[in-house]
Amino acid sequence: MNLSHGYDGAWGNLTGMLGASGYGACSGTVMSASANGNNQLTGFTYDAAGNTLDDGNIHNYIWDGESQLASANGVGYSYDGDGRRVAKVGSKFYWYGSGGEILAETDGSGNTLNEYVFFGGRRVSVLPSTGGPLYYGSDMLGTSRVMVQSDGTLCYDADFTPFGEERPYTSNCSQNYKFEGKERDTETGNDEFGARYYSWRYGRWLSSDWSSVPVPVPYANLTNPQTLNLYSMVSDDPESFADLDGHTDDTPVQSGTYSGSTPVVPTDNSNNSSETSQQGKLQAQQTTAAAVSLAPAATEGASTLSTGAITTVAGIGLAVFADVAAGAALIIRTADVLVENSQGKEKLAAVESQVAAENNAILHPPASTSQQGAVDTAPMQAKGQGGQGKGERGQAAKPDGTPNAAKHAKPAPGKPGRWIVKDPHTGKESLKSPGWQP
Amino acid sequence: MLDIKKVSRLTKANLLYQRAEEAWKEGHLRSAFQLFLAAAKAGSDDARAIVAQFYDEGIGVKASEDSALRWYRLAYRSGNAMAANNLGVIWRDRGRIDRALMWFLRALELGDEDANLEIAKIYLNAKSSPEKAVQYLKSACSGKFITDGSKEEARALLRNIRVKHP
Repeated sequence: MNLSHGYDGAWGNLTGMLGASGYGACSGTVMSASANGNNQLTGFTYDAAGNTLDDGNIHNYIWDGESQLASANGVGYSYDGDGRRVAKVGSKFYWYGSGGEILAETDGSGNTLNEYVFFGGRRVSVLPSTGGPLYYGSDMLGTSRVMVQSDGTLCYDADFTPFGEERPYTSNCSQNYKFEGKERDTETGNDEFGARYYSWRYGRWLSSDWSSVPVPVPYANLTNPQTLNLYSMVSDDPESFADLDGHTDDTPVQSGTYSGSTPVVPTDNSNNSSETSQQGKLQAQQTTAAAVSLAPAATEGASTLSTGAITTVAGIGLAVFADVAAGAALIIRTADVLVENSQGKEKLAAVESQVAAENNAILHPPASTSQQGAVDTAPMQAKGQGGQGKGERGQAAKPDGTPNAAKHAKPAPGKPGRWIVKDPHTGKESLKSPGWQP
Repeated sequence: MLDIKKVSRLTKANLLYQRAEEAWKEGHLRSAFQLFLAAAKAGSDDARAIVAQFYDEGIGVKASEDSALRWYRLAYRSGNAMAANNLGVIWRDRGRIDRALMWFLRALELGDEDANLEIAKIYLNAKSSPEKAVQYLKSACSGKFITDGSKEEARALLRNIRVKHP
């Protein structure tokens, strides 16, 4: 399948999707739009808060005072105090687990419609009210690609375009958790991501992004103007990033070194073989690269780095694979790359261990060993039988003046400069925040 | 061969983790928790243990021991010794000494030598195997990845045992 995507200038609005051919009798998505100065599509209607009222496909979105979608295409939605959707009024209730995942759905009368099983944070199975369990096979983005029955019979098999259009080959079992594992509402076709609703037809969010904490420019990387677009999906790179909760949070808040959040993945052509969907991915990535090249700040940032350069930001080693011609870069934390390689992992462990040892030597100089010997007897006499931490509460410092906290702190393994503190009364250990010193 | 998608996902997880650390450092605890949770869900091993800790101590989120248990277990699977130790503490406090012992032994396997002290205390309280307690206390005294406080307590307990059983 060939797909091409078009974007407007520096702001990364998806303005066109065109495809497909070579996909049987299916017709492809055709979308063409233009955006105004607020990154809102000109064919859409918005309210003053930036929420979509009419997207040309659904004409009656209704939003409440908290910018939650109250109704769409005649179906009302209810939310709990945490902003989670708990009901489609009159037809469906959602029951959440402690991790925020939907564990069950019931109808308006309380009869169970579906129950879901999660493993490792991913939906792995659904137990419908009738029939046997169905099992999900999802890709790395969490998108449900295949489903099988308990006897192994395939009952759902689909491809998804980069921005989430479903292209089913087999669809004998119905379920609604599709693109990135989020529910695709049957009444609108949009995906419910938690914080916002997503329209795959236009590859964008129905409402602008928001932050639960007051910050001047949430989720933005000020070196990349595309991240200021509050409607774009994962900085227009849906092949590499999955959105977790409806907030754009894939963008690093760094300046100078990053060229933007949109990576151009070095592509090995041999992997594309003849798979049409792979070709679509490659096409999408190339299109994304072109979009990034239009971002002046992004290009400027990348031009200072050479291919494969290793640099350091905030103490973290970063390998930067920059494509200056395309004005884009893939930035990988060196630790991650090394983890891919067993020899590299050993080297990394050796370096970290050396750093930890150096830190330890600085913080616990040999001279203190003899003092430890002194501490070994004196405080014990005061403590008598030496109950668990007994008598330590009023002790502000060791005789040598070291704060008492140091007594229960030890360097965190693999985290130079970080400390683990043990509660002497309970035995629990906790990692202290960055910058904490005993 | 390098799995680009996996690397991209891990990169996102690490970027989230980095932002979470910054939020934590600046004292934005609720924000930090949400970012750590997102990082953990995106696959960050380090974030899992911190999410568990935040649930355990009620930092930036309502304390939930059950959620903490779940995340500590995930963190342990990633090789986090602190998680194993804290699982031991939770089960010990719930009266499940057998489980507690299992988790402390796992913490020890992962290099957390403070677990020596906790294991010794279990054997001392059970009064069944003082010789095992002595063995673990000695290990605690000679440990390197152990807090000074635990070492002191181990020495005191060892001395006490020797007084009672010279």
